[in-house]
Amino acid sequence: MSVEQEQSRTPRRVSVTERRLRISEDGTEGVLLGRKCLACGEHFFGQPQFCLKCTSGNLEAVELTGEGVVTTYTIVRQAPPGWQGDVPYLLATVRVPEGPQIASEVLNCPEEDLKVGLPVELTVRVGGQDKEGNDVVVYKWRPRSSA
Amino acid sequence: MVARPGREVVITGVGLHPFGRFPDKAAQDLAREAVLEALDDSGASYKDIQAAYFGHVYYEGMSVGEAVLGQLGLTGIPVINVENACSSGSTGLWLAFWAIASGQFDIALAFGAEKVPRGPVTTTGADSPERLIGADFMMAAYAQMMRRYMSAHGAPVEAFAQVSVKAHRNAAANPYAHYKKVFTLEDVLSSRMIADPLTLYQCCPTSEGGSAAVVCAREVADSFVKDTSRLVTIAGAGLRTSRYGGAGEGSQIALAAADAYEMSGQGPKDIDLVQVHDAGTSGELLGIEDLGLVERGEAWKLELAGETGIGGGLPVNTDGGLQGMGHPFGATGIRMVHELVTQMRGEAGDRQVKKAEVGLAQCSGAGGIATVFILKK
Repeated sequence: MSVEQEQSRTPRRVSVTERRLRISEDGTEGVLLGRKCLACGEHFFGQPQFCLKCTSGNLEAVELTGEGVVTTYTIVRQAPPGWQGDVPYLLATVRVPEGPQIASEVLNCPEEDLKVGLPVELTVRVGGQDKEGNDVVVYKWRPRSSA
Repeated sequence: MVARPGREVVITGVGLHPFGRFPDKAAQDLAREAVLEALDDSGASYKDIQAAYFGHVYYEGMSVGEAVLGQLGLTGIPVINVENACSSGSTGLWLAFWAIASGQFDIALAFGAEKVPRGPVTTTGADSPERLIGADFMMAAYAQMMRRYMSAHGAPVEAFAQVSVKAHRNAAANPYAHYKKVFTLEDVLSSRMIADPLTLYQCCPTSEGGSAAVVCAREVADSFVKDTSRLVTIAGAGLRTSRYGGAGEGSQIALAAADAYEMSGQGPKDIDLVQVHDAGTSGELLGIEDLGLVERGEAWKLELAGETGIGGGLPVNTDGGLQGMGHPFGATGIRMVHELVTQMRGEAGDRQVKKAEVGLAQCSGAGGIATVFILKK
Protein backbone atom coordinates (compact mmCIF):
# COMPACT_ATOMS: atom_id res chain seq x y z
CA MET A 1 0.00 0.00 0.00
CA SER A 2 1.32 3.50 -0.82
CA VAL A 3 1.75 6.10 1.94
CA GLU A 4 -1.24 8.02 0.57
CA GLN A 5 -3.39 4.90 0.62
CA GLU A 6 -2.35 4.10 4.22
CA GLN A 7 -3.21 7.56 5.46
CA SER A 8 -6.62 7.65 3.81
CA ARG A 9 -7.61 4.12 4.94
CA THR A 10 -10.75 4.38 7.04
CA PRO A 11 -10.92 2.41 10.28
CA ARG A 12 -12.62 -0.95 10.19
CA ARG A 13 -16.04 -1.04 11.79
CA VAL A 14 -16.73 -3.81 14.27
CA SER A 15 -19.74 -4.66 16.40
CA VAL A 16 -19.45 -3.86 20.13
CA THR A 17 -20.25 -7.54 20.61
CA GLU A 18 -21.30 -10.02 17.97
CA ARG A 19 -23.28 -11.86 20.64
CA ARG A 20 -25.80 -9.01 20.68
CA LEU A 21 -25.45 -6.98 17.50
CA ARG A 22 -24.89 -7.96 13.89
CA ILE A 23 -23.90 -5.00 11.76
CA SER A 24 -23.84 -4.38 8.02
CA GLU A 25 -20.50 -4.25 6.22
CA ASP A 26 -20.34 -0.46 6.40
CA GLY A 27 -21.57 -0.42 10.00
CA THR A 28 -24.56 1.83 9.36
CA GLU A 29 -27.24 -0.77 10.08
CA GLY A 30 -27.67 -3.42 12.70
CA VAL A 31 -29.88 -6.21 13.98
CA LEU A 32 -30.33 -7.16 17.63
CA LEU A 33 -29.49 -10.79 18.26
CA GLY A 34 -30.94 -13.10 20.85
CA ARG A 35 -31.94 -16.65 21.62
CA LYS A 36 -35.25 -18.35 22.22
CA CYS A 37 -35.74 -21.25 24.58
CA LEU A 38 -37.42 -24.13 22.76
CA ALA A 39 -38.48 -25.69 26.05
CA CYS A 40 -40.35 -22.74 27.60
CA GLY A 41 -40.55 -20.09 24.88
CA GLU A 42 -38.67 -17.34 26.73
CA HIS A 43 -36.52 -14.92 24.70
CA PHE A 44 -33.14 -13.49 25.71
CA PHE A 45 -30.89 -10.71 24.45
CA GLY A 46 -27.47 -12.03 23.52
CA GLN A 47 -26.39 -15.67 23.37
CA PRO A 48 -26.93 -17.40 26.68
CA GLN A 49 -26.07 -21.07 26.50
CA PHE A 50 -28.84 -22.01 28.91
CA CYS A 51 -32.32 -20.63 29.45
CA LEU A 52 -32.22 -18.28 32.44
CA LYS A 53 -35.82 -19.13 33.23
CA CYS A 54 -35.98 -22.94 32.98
CA THR A 55 -32.26 -23.90 32.63
CA SER A 56 -32.81 -25.84 29.41
CA GLY A 57 -29.87 -25.98 26.99
CA ASN A 58 -32.22 -26.20 24.01
CA LEU A 59 -32.11 -22.66 22.57
CA GLU A 60 -32.13 -21.35 19.03
CA ALA A 61 -30.68 -18.12 17.65
CA VAL A 62 -33.21 -15.41 16.80
CA GLU A 63 -33.29 -11.79 15.75
CA LEU A 64 -35.07 -9.42 18.10
CA THR A 65 -37.33 -6.65 16.85
CA GLY A 66 -35.46 -3.37 16.59
CA GLU A 67 -38.00 -1.27 18.41
CA GLY A 68 -39.61 -1.06 21.81
CA VAL A 69 -40.92 1.05 24.67
CA VAL A 70 -38.97 2.87 27.39
CA THR A 71 -39.64 1.29 30.81
CA THR A 72 -37.27 3.55 32.74
CA TYR A 73 -34.45 5.99 32.06
CA THR A 74 -31.91 8.38 33.50
CA ILE A 75 -29.60 11.14 32.29
CA VAL A 76 -26.02 10.21 33.14
CA ARG A 77 -24.01 13.29 34.09
CA GLN A 78 -20.83 11.68 35.34
CA ALA A 79 -19.02 9.48 32.83
CA PRO A 80 -18.51 5.91 34.00
CA PRO A 81 -15.00 4.53 33.35
CA GLY A 82 -14.32 3.73 29.70
CA TRP A 83 -17.22 5.74 28.28
CA GLN A 84 -16.11 7.49 25.08
CA GLY A 85 -19.32 9.33 24.26
CA ASP A 86 -20.68 12.70 25.27
CA VAL A 87 -21.65 13.58 28.82
CA PRO A 88 -24.42 14.04 29.79
CA TYR A 89 -26.06 11.21 27.90
CA LEU A 90 -29.54 9.76 27.98
CA LEU A 91 -29.73 6.15 29.11
CA ALA A 92 -32.95 4.15 28.82
CA THR A 93 -34.09 0.60 29.46
CA VAL A 94 -36.28 -0.50 26.58
CA ARG A 95 -38.58 -3.50 26.41
CA VAL A 96 -38.68 -5.09 22.97
CA PRO A 97 -41.82 -7.01 21.86
CA GLU A 98 -40.23 -10.43 22.50
CA GLY A 99 -39.74 -9.50 26.17
CA PRO A 100 -36.07 -8.70 26.84
CA GLN A 101 -35.20 -5.32 28.33
CA ILE A 102 -32.22 -3.65 26.67
CA ALA A 103 -30.43 -0.66 28.17
CA SER A 104 -28.50 1.76 26.00
CA GLU A 105 -28.02 5.40 25.10
CA VAL A 106 -30.92 7.33 23.54
CA LEU A 107 -30.04 9.68 20.66
CA ASN A 108 -31.92 12.48 18.89
CA CYS A 109 -34.15 13.05 21.89
CA PRO A 110 -34.53 16.31 23.83
CA GLU A 111 -34.23 15.65 27.58
CA GLU A 112 -37.80 16.77 28.22
CA ASP A 113 -39.19 14.25 25.72
CA LEU A 114 -37.64 11.24 27.42
CA LYS A 115 -40.30 9.47 29.46
CA VAL A 116 -41.57 6.07 30.55
CA GLY A 117 -43.68 4.75 27.70
CA LEU A 118 -41.79 6.53 24.91
CA PRO A 119 -41.75 4.40 21.73
CA VAL A 120 -38.22 4.03 20.37
CA GLU A 121 -36.46 2.29 17.52
CA LEU A 122 -33.02 0.78 17.15
CA THR A 123 -30.18 2.75 15.64
CA VAL A 124 -26.47 2.04 15.52
CA ARG A 125 -23.61 4.47 16.02
CA VAL A 126 -19.89 4.37 16.48
CA GLY A 127 -19.45 4.48 20.24
CA GLY A 128 -15.68 4.75 20.29
CA GLN A 129 -12.48 2.99 19.26
CA ASP A 130 -11.07 -0.30 20.47
CA LYS A 131 -7.42 -1.06 21.24
CA GLU A 132 -6.75 -1.96 17.60
CA GLY A 133 -8.11 1.38 16.40
CA ASN A 134 -11.30 -0.05 14.93
CA ASP A 135 -14.51 1.94 15.15
CA VAL A 136 -16.82 0.10 17.55
CA VAL A 137 -20.47 0.16 16.48
CA VAL A 138 -22.96 0.14 19.37
CA TYR A 139 -26.74 -0.47 19.42
CA LYS A 140 -28.60 2.59 20.60
CA TRP A 141 -32.16 3.89 20.68
CA ARG A 142 -33.89 6.92 19.21
CA PRO A 143 -37.51 8.09 19.33
CA ARG A 144 -39.54 6.14 16.80
CA SER A 145 -40.16 8.14 13.64
CA SER A 146 -43.85 8.70 13.09
CA ALA A 147 -43.65 7.81 9.39
CA MET B 1 -39.53 -24.61 53.21
CA VAL B 2 -36.43 -23.23 54.89
CA ALA B 3 -34.05 -25.29 57.00
CA ARG B 4 -34.24 -24.84 60.77
CA PRO B 5 -31.25 -24.26 63.04
CA GLY B 6 -30.47 -27.32 65.17
CA ARG B 7 -29.85 -25.12 68.21
CA GLU B 8 -30.09 -21.47 69.21
CA VAL B 9 -27.31 -19.19 67.93
CA VAL B 10 -26.47 -15.95 69.72
CA ILE B 11 -24.27 -12.94 69.05
CA THR B 12 -22.00 -12.45 72.05
CA GLY B 13 -19.85 -9.58 70.82
CA VAL B 14 -19.65 -6.95 68.08
CA GLY B 15 -16.93 -4.56 67.00
CA LEU B 16 -16.40 -1.79 64.48
CA HIS B 17 -13.50 0.14 63.10
CA PRO B 18 -14.86 3.66 62.34
CA PHE B 19 -15.81 4.21 58.69
CA GLY B 20 -14.03 6.95 56.79
CA ARG B 21 -10.65 7.36 55.06
CA PHE B 22 -7.50 6.01 56.72
CA PRO B 23 -4.54 6.47 54.37
CA ASP B 24 -2.10 5.14 56.97
CA LYS B 25 -3.97 1.89 57.53
CA ALA B 26 -4.34 -1.20 55.36
CA ALA B 27 -7.60 -3.16 55.15
CA GLN B 28 -5.98 -5.76 57.40
CA ASP B 29 -5.55 -3.13 60.15
CA LEU B 30 -9.22 -2.11 59.92
CA ALA B 31 -10.21 -5.78 60.13
CA ARG B 32 -7.96 -6.55 63.06
CA GLU B 33 -9.18 -3.62 65.16
CA ALA B 34 -12.82 -4.57 64.58
CA VAL B 35 -12.07 -8.18 65.52
CA LEU B 36 -10.28 -7.17 68.74
CA GLU B 37 -13.22 -4.97 69.72
CA ALA B 38 -15.70 -7.79 69.07
CA LEU B 39 -13.65 -10.31 71.05
CA ASP B 40 -13.36 -7.90 73.95
CA ASP B 41 -17.11 -7.28 73.82
CA SER B 42 -17.84 -11.01 73.74
CA GLY B 43 -15.76 -12.05 76.72
CA ALA B 44 -14.04 -14.70 74.59
CA SER B 45 -10.39 -14.57 73.62
CA TYR B 46 -9.02 -15.39 70.17
CA LYS B 47 -7.93 -18.86 71.21
CA ASP B 48 -11.58 -19.75 71.90
CA ILE B 49 -12.58 -19.11 68.28
CA GLN B 50 -13.10 -22.33 66.32
CA ALA B 51 -13.74 -20.97 62.81
CA ALA B 52 -13.63 -17.61 61.05
CA TYR B 53 -15.21 -16.05 57.95
CA PHE B 54 -13.78 -12.90 56.37
CA GLY B 55 -15.86 -10.86 53.93
CA HIS B 56 -14.10 -8.58 51.46
CA VAL B 57 -14.28 -7.76 47.76
CA TYR B 58 -11.20 -6.06 46.36
CA TYR B 59 -8.20 -8.25 45.75
CA GLU B 60 -5.31 -7.36 48.03
CA GLY B 61 -3.54 -10.69 47.81
CA MET B 62 -4.51 -14.23 48.68
CA SER B 63 -5.66 -15.39 52.12
CA VAL B 64 -6.16 -11.97 53.69
CA GLY B 65 -8.41 -13.40 56.42
CA GLU B 66 -5.62 -15.76 57.48
CA ALA B 67 -3.12 -12.90 57.41
CA VAL B 68 -5.29 -10.79 59.71
CA LEU B 69 -5.99 -13.55 62.23
CA GLY B 70 -2.46 -14.91 62.11
CA GLN B 71 -1.48 -11.68 63.87
CA LEU B 72 -3.59 -12.80 66.82
CA GLY B 73 -1.97 -16.22 66.99
CA LEU B 74 -1.59 -19.28 64.75
CA THR B 75 -4.24 -21.56 66.22
CA GLY B 76 -4.85 -23.67 63.12
CA ILE B 77 -8.60 -23.01 62.83
CA PRO B 78 -10.47 -23.09 59.51
CA VAL B 79 -10.63 -19.61 57.96
CA ILE B 80 -12.68 -18.81 54.86
CA ASN B 81 -12.45 -15.68 52.74
CA VAL B 82 -15.87 -14.76 51.39
CA GLU B 83 -16.72 -12.61 48.37
CA ASN B 84 -20.36 -11.82 47.63
CA ALA B 85 -19.98 -8.22 46.52
CA CYS B 86 -21.47 -5.74 49.02
CA SER B 87 -22.97 -8.61 51.01
CA SER B 88 -19.64 -10.37 51.59
CA GLY B 89 -19.64 -9.67 55.33
CA SER B 90 -23.23 -10.74 55.88
CA THR B 91 -22.60 -13.85 53.79
CA GLY B 92 -19.72 -14.70 56.13
CA LEU B 93 -22.07 -14.22 59.07
CA TRP B 94 -24.66 -16.47 57.39
CA LEU B 95 -22.02 -19.20 57.03
CA ALA B 96 -20.96 -18.78 60.67
CA PHE B 97 -24.60 -18.93 61.79
CA TRP B 98 -25.27 -22.20 60.00
CA ALA B 99 -21.98 -23.77 61.07
CA ILE B 100 -22.94 -23.20 64.70
CA ALA B 101 -26.63 -24.02 64.20
CA SER B 102 -25.67 -27.36 62.69
CA GLY B 103 -23.31 -28.25 65.48
CA GLN B 104 -20.12 -28.03 63.40
CA PHE B 105 -18.63 -25.40 65.73
CA ASP B 106 -19.60 -23.89 69.07
CA ILE B 107 -18.09 -20.43 68.58
CA ALA B 108 -17.06 -18.57 65.43
CA LEU B 109 -15.99 -15.16 64.20
CA ALA B 110 -17.44 -13.32 61.20
CA PHE B 111 -15.68 -10.15 60.12
CA GLY B 112 -15.33 -7.85 57.13
CA ALA B 113 -13.22 -4.95 55.94
CA GLU B 114 -12.66 -2.86 52.84
CA LYS B 115 -10.88 0.17 51.44
CA VAL B 116 -13.07 1.24 48.53
CA PRO B 117 -11.30 3.61 46.13
CA ARG B 118 -13.01 6.85 45.14
CA GLY B 119 -14.98 7.08 41.91
CA PRO B 120 -17.87 5.43 40.04
CA VAL B 121 -18.50 1.76 40.68
CA THR B 122 -19.06 -0.69 37.83
CA THR B 123 -19.46 -4.44 37.90
CA THR B 124 -17.63 -5.45 34.71
CA GLY B 125 -13.94 -5.05 33.89
CA ALA B 126 -12.06 -2.52 31.77
CA ASP B 127 -12.10 -4.62 28.59
CA SER B 128 -15.81 -5.34 28.70
CA PRO B 129 -18.04 -4.23 25.79
CA GLU B 130 -20.17 -2.67 28.51
CA ARG B 131 -17.73 0.25 28.70
CA LEU B 132 -18.81 1.56 25.29
CA ILE B 133 -22.49 0.68 25.80
CA GLY B 134 -22.60 2.86 28.90
CA ALA B 135 -25.29 1.00 30.88
CA ASP B 136 -23.07 -0.63 33.52
CA PHE B 137 -22.89 2.07 36.17
CA MET B 138 -24.20 1.30 39.65
CA MET B 139 -25.64 4.74 40.36
CA ALA B 140 -27.31 4.91 36.91
CA ALA B 141 -29.01 1.62 37.83
CA TYR B 142 -30.24 3.15 41.12
CA ALA B 143 -31.42 6.24 39.20
CA GLN B 144 -33.41 4.08 36.79
CA MET B 145 -34.90 2.17 39.73
CA MET B 146 -35.90 5.54 41.20
CA ARG B 147 -37.49 6.75 37.96
CA ARG B 148 -39.45 3.52 37.54
CA TYR B 149 -40.81 3.85 41.10
CA MET B 150 -41.66 7.55 40.68
CA SER B 151 -43.48 6.79 37.44
CA ALA B 152 -45.42 3.85 38.90
CA HIS B 153 -46.39 5.41 42.25
CA GLY B 154 -46.31 9.17 41.73
CA ALA B 155 -43.58 9.60 44.34
CA PRO B 156 -41.80 12.98 44.34
CA VAL B 157 -38.02 13.21 44.31
CA GLU B 158 -38.22 14.79 47.79
CA ALA B 159 -39.19 11.41 49.29
CA PHE B 160 -35.89 9.94 48.10
CA ALA B 161 -33.90 12.96 49.20
CA GLN B 162 -35.52 12.61 52.63
CA VAL B 163 -33.85 9.18 52.97
CA SER B 164 -30.51 10.98 52.86
CA VAL B 165 -31.60 13.78 55.20
CA LYS B 166 -32.75 11.23 57.79
CA ALA B 167 -29.64 9.09 57.33
CA HIS B 168 -27.26 11.99 57.83
CA ARG B 169 -29.16 13.21 60.88
CA ASN B 170 -28.70 9.74 62.41
CA ALA B 171 -25.06 9.57 61.38
CA ALA B 172 -24.36 12.91 63.09
CA ALA B 173 -25.06 11.11 66.38
CA ASN B 174 -22.72 8.23 65.52
CA PRO B 175 -18.99 8.47 66.28
CA TYR B 176 -18.27 5.59 63.86
CA ALA B 177 -19.90 7.28 60.84
CA HIS B 178 -17.93 8.47 57.81
CA TYR B 179 -20.00 11.61 57.42
CA LYS B 180 -21.32 13.41 60.49
CA LYS B 181 -22.61 16.53 58.73
CA VAL B 182 -26.34 17.24 58.79
CA PHE B 183 -27.97 17.95 55.42
CA THR B 184 -31.20 19.77 54.64
CA LEU B 185 -33.53 18.62 51.88
CA GLU B 186 -32.26 21.56 49.82
CA ASP B 187 -28.62 20.50 50.36
CA VAL B 188 -29.42 17.02 49.09
CA LEU B 189 -31.47 18.08 46.06
CA SER B 190 -29.04 20.79 44.97
CA SER B 191 -25.91 18.63 45.24
CA ARG B 192 -24.25 17.62 41.97
CA MET B 193 -26.49 15.51 39.70
CA ILE B 194 -24.93 12.12 39.04
CA ALA B 195 -27.72 10.49 36.99
CA ASP B 196 -31.14 12.16 36.98
CA PRO B 197 -32.80 12.28 39.44
CA LEU B 198 -30.07 10.90 41.72
CA THR B 199 -27.87 13.63 43.17
CA LEU B 200 -24.47 13.15 44.81
CA TYR B 201 -25.86 13.29 48.33
CA GLN B 202 -28.24 10.45 47.45
CA CYS B 203 -25.35 8.12 46.64
CA CYS B 204 -23.59 6.41 49.50
CA PRO B 205 -19.96 7.48 49.88
CA THR B 206 -17.15 5.08 49.06
CA SER B 207 -15.39 4.38 52.34
CA GLU B 208 -12.97 2.33 54.41
CA GLY B 209 -13.83 0.43 57.54
CA GLY B 210 -14.12 -2.88 59.35
CA SER B 211 -16.69 -4.80 61.36
CA ALA B 212 -16.82 -8.05 63.32
CA ALA B 213 -19.17 -10.27 65.29
CA VAL B 214 -18.61 -13.24 67.59
CA VAL B 215 -21.35 -15.83 67.37
CA CYS B 216 -21.80 -18.93 69.46
CA ALA B 217 -24.25 -21.61 70.47
CA ARG B 218 -26.50 -20.34 73.28
CA GLU B 219 -25.77 -23.46 75.28
CA VAL B 220 -22.06 -22.56 75.58
CA ALA B 221 -22.43 -18.77 75.85
CA ASP B 222 -22.51 -18.78 79.67
CA SER B 223 -18.90 -19.91 79.84
CA PHE B 224 -17.76 -16.78 77.95
CA VAL B 225 -20.04 -13.84 78.55
CA LYS B 226 -20.07 -11.89 81.79
CA ASP B 227 -23.59 -10.57 81.25
CA THR B 228 -26.08 -12.84 79.48
CA SER B 229 -28.60 -10.00 79.34
CA ARG B 230 -26.49 -8.58 76.50
CA LEU B 231 -26.93 -11.66 74.28
CA VAL B 232 -28.89 -11.25 71.06
CA THR B 233 -30.31 -14.27 69.22
CA ILE B 234 -30.06 -14.76 65.47
CA ALA B 235 -33.65 -15.93 65.09
CA GLY B 236 -33.79 -15.98 61.29
CA ALA B 237 -31.36 -15.90 58.39
CA GLY B 238 -31.87 -15.82 54.62
CA LEU B 239 -29.54 -15.59 51.63
CA ARG B 240 -30.88 -15.61 48.09
CA THR B 241 -29.91 -14.62 44.56
CA SER B 242 -32.02 -13.46 41.59
CA ARG B 243 -34.82 -15.64 40.42
CA TYR B 244 -35.75 -15.15 36.75
CA GLY B 245 -38.59 -12.68 36.37
CA GLY B 246 -38.54 -11.92 40.07
CA ALA B 247 -39.21 -8.35 41.13
CA GLY B 248 -41.08 -7.06 44.15
CA GLU B 249 -42.51 -10.09 45.95
CA GLY B 250 -40.34 -12.36 43.80
CA SER B 251 -37.12 -10.40 44.30
CA GLN B 252 -34.14 -11.88 46.11
CA ILE B 253 -34.80 -9.45 49.00
CA ALA B 254 -38.38 -10.71 49.40
CA LEU B 255 -37.31 -14.36 49.10
CA ALA B 256 -34.47 -14.01 51.62
CA ALA B 257 -36.85 -12.20 53.98
CA ALA B 258 -39.45 -14.96 53.58
CA ASP B 259 -36.85 -17.51 54.66
CA ALA B 260 -35.89 -15.39 57.67
CA TYR B 261 -39.50 -14.73 58.68
CA GLU B 262 -40.37 -18.41 58.43
CA MET B 263 -37.30 -19.55 60.39
CA SER B 264 -37.76 -16.97 63.14
CA GLY B 265 -41.53 -17.19 63.50
CA GLN B 266 -41.56 -13.36 63.34
CA GLY B 267 -43.52 -11.44 60.71
CA PRO B 268 -43.19 -7.94 59.24
CA LYS B 269 -45.48 -6.53 61.96
CA ASP B 270 -43.12 -7.80 64.67
CA ILE B 271 -40.10 -5.87 63.40
CA ASP B 272 -39.22 -2.92 65.65
CA LEU B 273 -36.32 -1.51 63.66
CA VAL B 274 -34.65 -2.25 60.36
CA GLN B 275 -31.36 -1.88 58.53
CA VAL B 276 -31.76 -1.79 54.76
CA HIS B 277 -29.34 -1.43 51.85
CA ASP B 278 -29.48 2.26 50.93
CA ALA B 279 -26.54 2.47 48.50
CA GLY B 280 -28.76 4.81 46.49
CA THR B 281 -31.69 6.40 48.33
CA SER B 282 -34.14 4.38 46.21
CA GLY B 283 -32.71 1.23 47.80
CA GLU B 284 -34.37 2.16 51.10
CA LEU B 285 -37.86 2.74 49.71
CA LEU B 286 -37.88 -0.33 47.51
CA GLY B 287 -36.15 -2.36 50.19
CA ILE B 288 -38.70 -1.81 52.95
CA GLU B 289 -41.47 -2.66 50.47
CA ASP B 290 -39.71 -5.83 49.29
CA LEU B 291 -39.30 -6.80 52.96
CA GLY B 292 -43.07 -6.58 53.36
CA LEU B 293 -42.75 -3.88 56.02
CA VAL B 294 -44.80 -1.38 53.99
CA GLU B 295 -47.44 -1.81 51.27
CA ARG B 296 -46.11 -1.61 47.71
CA GLY B 297 -46.05 2.02 46.61
CA GLU B 298 -46.44 3.40 50.14
CA ALA B 299 -42.82 3.61 51.37
CA TRP B 300 -42.37 7.11 49.97
CA LYS B 301 -45.25 8.42 52.06
CA LEU B 302 -43.81 6.85 55.21
CA GLU B 303 -40.46 8.50 54.52
CA LEU B 304 -41.93 11.96 53.93
CA ALA B 305 -44.03 11.65 57.09
CA GLY B 306 -40.89 11.03 59.16
CA GLU B 307 -41.96 7.52 60.21
CA THR B 308 -38.52 6.06 59.40
CA GLY B 309 -36.77 8.40 61.87
CA ILE B 310 -35.55 7.27 65.28
CA GLY B 311 -38.80 8.41 66.94
CA GLY B 312 -41.02 7.08 64.15
CA GLY B 313 -43.15 4.00 63.76
CA LEU B 314 -40.53 2.08 61.73
CA PRO B 315 -37.00 3.32 62.47
CA VAL B 316 -34.77 2.63 59.47
CA ASN B 317 -30.95 2.80 59.45
CA THR B 318 -30.65 4.37 62.88
CA ASP B 319 -26.84 4.59 62.60
CA GLY B 320 -26.94 6.44 59.30
CA GLY B 321 -27.11 3.50 56.88
CA LEU B 322 -24.84 3.31 53.85
CA GLN B 323 -25.68 6.95 53.10
CA GLY B 324 -24.27 8.30 56.37
CA MET B 325 -21.94 5.54 57.58
CA GLY B 326 -20.40 5.07 54.15
CA HIS B 327 -20.00 1.73 52.41
CA PRO B 328 -16.80 -0.29 52.76
CA PHE B 329 -18.18 -3.30 50.90
CA GLY B 330 -17.01 -6.22 53.04
CA ALA B 331 -17.76 -4.41 56.30
CA THR B 332 -21.31 -3.23 55.67
CA GLY B 333 -23.31 -6.41 56.33
CA ILE B 334 -21.90 -6.92 59.81
CA ARG B 335 -22.01 -3.15 60.52
CA MET B 336 -25.80 -3.40 60.11
CA VAL B 337 -25.89 -6.21 62.67
CA HIS B 338 -23.61 -4.19 65.00
CA GLU B 339 -26.17 -1.38 65.08
CA LEU B 340 -29.11 -3.70 65.66
CA VAL B 341 -27.28 -5.41 68.54
CA THR B 342 -26.33 -2.04 70.06
CA GLN B 343 -29.94 -0.87 69.87
CA MET B 344 -31.30 -4.11 71.26
CA ARG B 345 -28.91 -3.88 74.21
CA GLY B 346 -30.19 -0.35 74.92
CA GLU B 347 -26.69 1.04 74.35
CA ALA B 348 -27.34 3.34 71.37
CA GLY B 349 -27.27 6.61 73.35
CA ASP B 350 -28.63 9.52 71.32
CA ARG B 351 -29.71 7.08 68.58
CA GLN B 352 -31.66 4.78 70.92
CA VAL B 353 -35.12 3.74 69.73
CA LYS B 354 -37.79 3.10 72.34
CA LYS B 355 -38.67 -0.48 71.42
CA ALA B 356 -35.90 -2.68 70.09
CA GLU B 357 -36.76 -6.32 70.73
CA VAL B 358 -36.88 -7.61 67.16
CA GLY B 359 -34.61 -6.19 64.47
CA LEU B 360 -34.09 -6.97 60.78
CA ALA B 361 -30.95 -6.35 58.74
CA GLN B 362 -31.07 -6.56 54.94
CA CYS B 363 -27.85 -6.29 52.92
CA SER B 364 -27.64 -6.49 49.12
CA GLY B 365 -24.81 -7.46 46.80
CA ALA B 366 -24.29 -6.57 43.13
CA GLY B 367 -25.08 -9.56 40.97
CA GLY B 368 -28.49 -10.09 42.51
CA ILE B 369 -27.65 -11.07 46.10
CA ALA B 370 -29.69 -10.41 49.22
CA THR B 371 -29.13 -11.40 52.84
CA VAL B 372 -31.62 -10.95 55.67
CA PHE B 373 -31.09 -11.49 59.40
CA ILE B 374 -33.78 -11.28 62.03
CA LEU B 375 -32.39 -10.71 65.52
CA LYS B 376 -34.34 -11.15 68.72
CA LYS B 377 -33.60 -10.00 72.24
